[in-house]
Amino acid sequence: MTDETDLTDEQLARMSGDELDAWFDARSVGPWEPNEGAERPAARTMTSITVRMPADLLVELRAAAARHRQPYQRYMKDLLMLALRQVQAADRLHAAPAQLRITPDQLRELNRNGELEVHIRLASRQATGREALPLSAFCPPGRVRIERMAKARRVRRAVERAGWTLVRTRGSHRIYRRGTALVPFAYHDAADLGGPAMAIVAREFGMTVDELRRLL
Amino acid sequence: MAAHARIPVRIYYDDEARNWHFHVPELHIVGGGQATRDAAREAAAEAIAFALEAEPEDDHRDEFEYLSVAVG
Repeated sequence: MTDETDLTDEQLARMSGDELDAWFDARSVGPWEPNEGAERPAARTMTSITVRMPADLLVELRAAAARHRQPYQRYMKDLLMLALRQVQAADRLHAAPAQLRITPDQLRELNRNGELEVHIRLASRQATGREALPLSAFCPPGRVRIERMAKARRVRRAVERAGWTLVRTRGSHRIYRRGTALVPFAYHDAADLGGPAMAIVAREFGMTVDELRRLL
Repeated sequence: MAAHARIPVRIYYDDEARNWHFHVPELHIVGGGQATRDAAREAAAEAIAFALEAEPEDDHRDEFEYLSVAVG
């Protein structure tokens, strides 16, 4: 204990559990101690609530708190705050899905196996300017399954990028031409195409599946 | 005179997209995305009709002749 406003170890040892909680509440900002030299925030306003919880969970909490040498109520609040931050981080992830660039080799693996193993390394806050995410059950899984499906609308746009021209259309029926070749494309825009359908479409439009996927 | 022809149509299930598709190799038609095989078969018939009734564009019209063919 180095701060003059802190208590000595002897004083702490004489305090009851409730007194210890009150003391921790007054000086702590959360599960993490402030950096050395950082300005200490003002004590927060506290409110008392009554929570019913399973007795065995309480025993487990007390045991874990004892192992960490913390009053169990303080420890419980730290856990709650930690869990809340993780859930909030996970919510932010869902709001802004990550984009993934894959190499041609990975694309071939994806086409061959239907899935690709991706290892996610969390960037530091300094590198991204965003809060680094804690590794926990709320984090994205280390193995990500990449869908091989595409909507028909994306597929026909890809076909057009490959140089095919729309020459006739009625409803969801379209006829594309390139040179002397004609290919009727009879998909509603919202229809899903998986690997099998994509392979046939690619072949009719004179492409490999890889080439078609690259144009999506 | 209405002409009738038997055209092979491949109707297949896409297990990734979990829907039915069709392919008409002779006419190079691709299509589908239906929930059932019957719906895909119906959609294939419509697509074939659309493809066959499609007329060549004006700039190629003089290269085509229209023949009536009776078979059997």
